[in-house]
Amino acid sequence: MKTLIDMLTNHWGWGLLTIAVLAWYCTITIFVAYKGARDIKEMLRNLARDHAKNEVHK
Amino acid sequence: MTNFNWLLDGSIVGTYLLVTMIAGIMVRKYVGKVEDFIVAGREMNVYLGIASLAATEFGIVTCMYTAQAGYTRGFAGAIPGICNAIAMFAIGYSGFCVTKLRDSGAMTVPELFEKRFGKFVRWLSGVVIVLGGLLNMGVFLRVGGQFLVVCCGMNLKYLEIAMTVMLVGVAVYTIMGGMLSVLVTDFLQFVVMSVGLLVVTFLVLDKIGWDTLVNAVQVNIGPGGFNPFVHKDLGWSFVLSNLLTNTAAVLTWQTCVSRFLSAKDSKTGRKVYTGTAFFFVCRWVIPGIWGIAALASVAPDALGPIGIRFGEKDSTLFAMPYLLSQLVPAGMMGILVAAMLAADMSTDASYMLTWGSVIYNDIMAPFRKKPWPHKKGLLWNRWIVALIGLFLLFWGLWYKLEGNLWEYLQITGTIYLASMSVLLIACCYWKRANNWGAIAAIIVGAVLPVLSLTVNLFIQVPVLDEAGQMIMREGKPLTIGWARHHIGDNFVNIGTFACVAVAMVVGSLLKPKGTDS
Repeated sequence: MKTLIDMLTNHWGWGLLTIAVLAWYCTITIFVAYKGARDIKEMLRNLARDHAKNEVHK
Repeated sequence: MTNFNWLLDGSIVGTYLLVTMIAGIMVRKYVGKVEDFIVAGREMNVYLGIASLAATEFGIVTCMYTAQAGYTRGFAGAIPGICNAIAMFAIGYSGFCVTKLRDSGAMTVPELFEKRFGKFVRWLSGVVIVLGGLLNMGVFLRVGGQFLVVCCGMNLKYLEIAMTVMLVGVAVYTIMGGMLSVLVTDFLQFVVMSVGLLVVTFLVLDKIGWDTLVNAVQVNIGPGGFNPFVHKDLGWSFVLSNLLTNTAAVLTWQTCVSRFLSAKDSKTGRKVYTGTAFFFVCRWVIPGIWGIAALASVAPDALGPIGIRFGEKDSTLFAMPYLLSQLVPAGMMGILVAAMLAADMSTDASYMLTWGSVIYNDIMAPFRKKPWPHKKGLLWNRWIVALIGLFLLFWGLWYKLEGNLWEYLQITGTIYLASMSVLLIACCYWKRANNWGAIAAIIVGAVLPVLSLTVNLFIQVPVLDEAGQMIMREGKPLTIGWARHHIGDNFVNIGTFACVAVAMVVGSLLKPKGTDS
């Protein structure tokens, strides 16, 4: 808590940017970890479907 | 001595490496054609794109130079990250150039140039892109190895072996699965890397404290440590140089733009850019904080012997890994090293693949009379990635870095960033642009940075102190490259961009109208 108060009072511009960086990075990590896994599944499913289609055309 | 415990931390790192390798190799079965190998069949969606772009653009080398910037320049050292974020957000939001590039269906930037400037410009662009890109990534392995040696307390004689093993591992899954393996492993690496970066940053802030960091910058660097415009080595030229370089990088840096080109469509690509933009601030601020923490708590005397051990002139690069080796406890050290390896592996894999794709698609393709079958194309791509890996190994082993790492990366990057970004803008938005202008721009853009690097290497001038006396180090006068001393890296960079733009305009206008094919 003391560090947080220090960041908002001592050179608050850089302190605020550092807080924003940490908050944004924590959020995006959780978000991307969840949604990115879904994207991978979808990407591999689409590629498998395309390959199957190509095999049929051959 | 470091806090790295080979049993506990080594197990964490080993498990991570094993999982990544298995995941990377498992997706190889989905690679059926060259498009799957180079741009993942253009099936990449937004969140996977964000993870991949972020993981690629953060390697150990990134962490080292951004921490070095924090150590030597304080908070103002994070300015390049802010410039990068602004450039990426603006380009992602507006779709400037990149929308036209993606909608053209090209797999690489030079492929688009062929449509406007002809085959020779495509080939020449490929050559400078590969030259600049490979020189740039040539230092990655060595710097990564140095981090591991300092942080884990690994014996220096194992540096080459560790680097080789890591590179072979990365090369195996990249050769097998191409962009698909890169995307899947990037995702895992993003998660591991992010957890490690965040945990260590909270630890640093908790153990050292914000006031101590601010005080260290105030005492050692002064007001310039908070404001780049009043810093004696930075100033407006530094900010402008970084704005130009980062805008050009977002538009044409192969690892960056390949994510845009792998996206499902230009709308998805733009979302990836706007969604990842703020990560570039994180990429500079987080290691920057670690660098400032090193400034606050590591005695400069401790760094000198480390620099000498590696044969490097500038030991400031080792401040951050030295601090972490002392600060991070066992157990957490494994997370940190796994995070750093994750960062480095994703970067190496992506760099090998994307520069390899330019060699295949733009340097070799113009010589082919008819397209190769997919099987042959895939085989060639795999060989090229393997050869780039070999080049990396040998260049990385013998190249000794002089001066600031970021400036080296910026100058080698400018070999193609300046010309390719000007070509891309002209190609998309200027009707009079033609192959004369394009060729002139490419030549000027490559010659100026190479000239500057050569002059710096062969003509050295002694560094003087404020009293005009030569500064001595280990009995020898400390020297600096001529161009760096008299012109400055930032002005070389800005000058290159300006000269390239002039060359493009003059060259294009000189060509008589009606002679374009």
